[in-house]
Amino acid sequence: MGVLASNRKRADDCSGFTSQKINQNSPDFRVLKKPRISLTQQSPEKHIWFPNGTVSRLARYPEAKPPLPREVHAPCKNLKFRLSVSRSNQYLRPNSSGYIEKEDFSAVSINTMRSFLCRQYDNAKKMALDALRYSKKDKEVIIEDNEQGGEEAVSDDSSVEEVDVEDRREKIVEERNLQPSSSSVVTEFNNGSLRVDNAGKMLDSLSLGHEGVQFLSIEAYKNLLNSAERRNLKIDDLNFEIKLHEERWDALRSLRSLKKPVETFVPLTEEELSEVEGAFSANRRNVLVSHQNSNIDITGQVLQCLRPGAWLNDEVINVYLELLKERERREPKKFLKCHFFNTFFYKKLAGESGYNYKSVRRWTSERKLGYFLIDCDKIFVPIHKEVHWCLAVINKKDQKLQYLDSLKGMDAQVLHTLERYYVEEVKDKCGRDINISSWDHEYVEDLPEQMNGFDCGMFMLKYIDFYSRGFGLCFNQVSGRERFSYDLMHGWCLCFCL
Amino acid sequence: MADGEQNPPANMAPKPITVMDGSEVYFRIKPQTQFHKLMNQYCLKTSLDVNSVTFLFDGRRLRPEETPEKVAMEDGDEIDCLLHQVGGGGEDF
Repeated sequence: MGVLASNRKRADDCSGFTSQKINQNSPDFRVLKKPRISLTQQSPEKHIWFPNGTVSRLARYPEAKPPLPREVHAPCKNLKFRLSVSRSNQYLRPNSSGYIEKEDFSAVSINTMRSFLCRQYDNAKKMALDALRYSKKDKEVIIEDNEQGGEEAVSDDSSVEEVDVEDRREKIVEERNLQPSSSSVVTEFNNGSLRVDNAGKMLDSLSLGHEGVQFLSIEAYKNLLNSAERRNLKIDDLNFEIKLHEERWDALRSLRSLKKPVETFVPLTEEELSEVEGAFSANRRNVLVSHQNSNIDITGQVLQCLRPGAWLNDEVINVYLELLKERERREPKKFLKCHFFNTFFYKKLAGESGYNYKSVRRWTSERKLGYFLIDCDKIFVPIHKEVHWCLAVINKKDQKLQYLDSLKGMDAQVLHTLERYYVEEVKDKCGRDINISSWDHEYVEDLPEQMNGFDCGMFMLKYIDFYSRGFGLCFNQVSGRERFSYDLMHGWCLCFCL
Repeated sequence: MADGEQNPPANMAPKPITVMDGSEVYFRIKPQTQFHKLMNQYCLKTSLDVNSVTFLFDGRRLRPEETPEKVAMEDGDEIDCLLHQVGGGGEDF
């Protein structure tokens, strides 16, 4: 059966397809088409049919909806009342809608009534609220009257308590303020607060407590502020005194350093100048000076570094350091006992491989020097920094390590290295353990500064010159390279500074 | 010196030179030989100009005409070779 049925279905389908194709021209086509048309035409008919229901419904909705959202969500001042009005509208709506067609007058009257009632309601509410407010005020007044009348005894007690508290405060404030005038201020403040208390009696107990605290705190703050300002004045006075003392100290120090007699710069005579000029222009290979102690030969080539604007080289500096030592040996009473390391010492001590005492251990044997380093008042160590000459001093006399740079540079490493070296040197040569960690590391700032880019070597030598005599650095500018060259050539050290 | 004369082979012992960069060059030098021979040799080896360096023995400068005998050099002593230094202090000049 199933098979048959399926077959029949297929057959029907086939017949349907064929019939459609065939019936397109046949009269049966219309018959077949008709119901289709009728089906399609049914929907417009429905649209025509339904509108009565839907339109009436739709027409009803917009009327019903708008008032509600507008009235509810509109930003109005007395929302509470409006809301109630809208509710009343809602409740009234069914009735009005029901009677719209039949009784317009009644609806209007209802509306007017409603608005009238609303107004009445509003007025009533306002009146009620106002009445409440008035009644509150009246009550307050009454309470105040009562307080004024009946609570005087109680308020007296409270004021006594307050005074006690204030007395305590006064004591505290007095303790804080060392100046006597503060106490009078405090008493004034106390009276003021008492007055405030009297006025505050009119208020109820709680509010009185709060306000009293407020007044007290404000007064206390004012008082503290005043005392702080007074302290500020004191601090200012102290600062001024400090400044004054510092200035006086500076003046005294400068006077002390100026006490030392200073050699005056003696310009070269014409003959001497021409001699120096001749040395500058001499054959560069000629040995002009041969220093025996240091084994250094100053040739014309080397002397070129003393021409104006040229950079000083190590040979000139080392010779001058030897000359300084010779000067000290000649007149030991006039100069401090010093040792002058040559320019290679620091490079060897703190070379590229780091601190190495062994490499300079033999530089300072007693056999070589004739004295121990520890016996020296000052040990001068020239520091060569790539293109710059600086000076470090192990100042045993003043128990400090000094660093002098005419360009005001600083190098903590140098002083630490020298501190280490000095301890190790003393232990090696004298077998003594010394501790110089307490020595001050001074970066001398009050020194004549180099104002050009080539005189640092001259400045360094001048620092050594002045320090080795025990002077302060009381010169302004180094000048007279000719003078320096002349002195160098003749093996003595004269002043070449202004 | 007395020891040196008594034991000539001791004076023939190597005289090492330590250079600044840490590399060590050893020289065997007779006590009577002048240092300029050693200096030239060293500068040839390290390709340095003789005029740009200075030789120090225990911090004291060595002259080319000096000899180990004169400066009381002993076996195993070191000679330092250092470059000449110049300074003016200003990078702006």
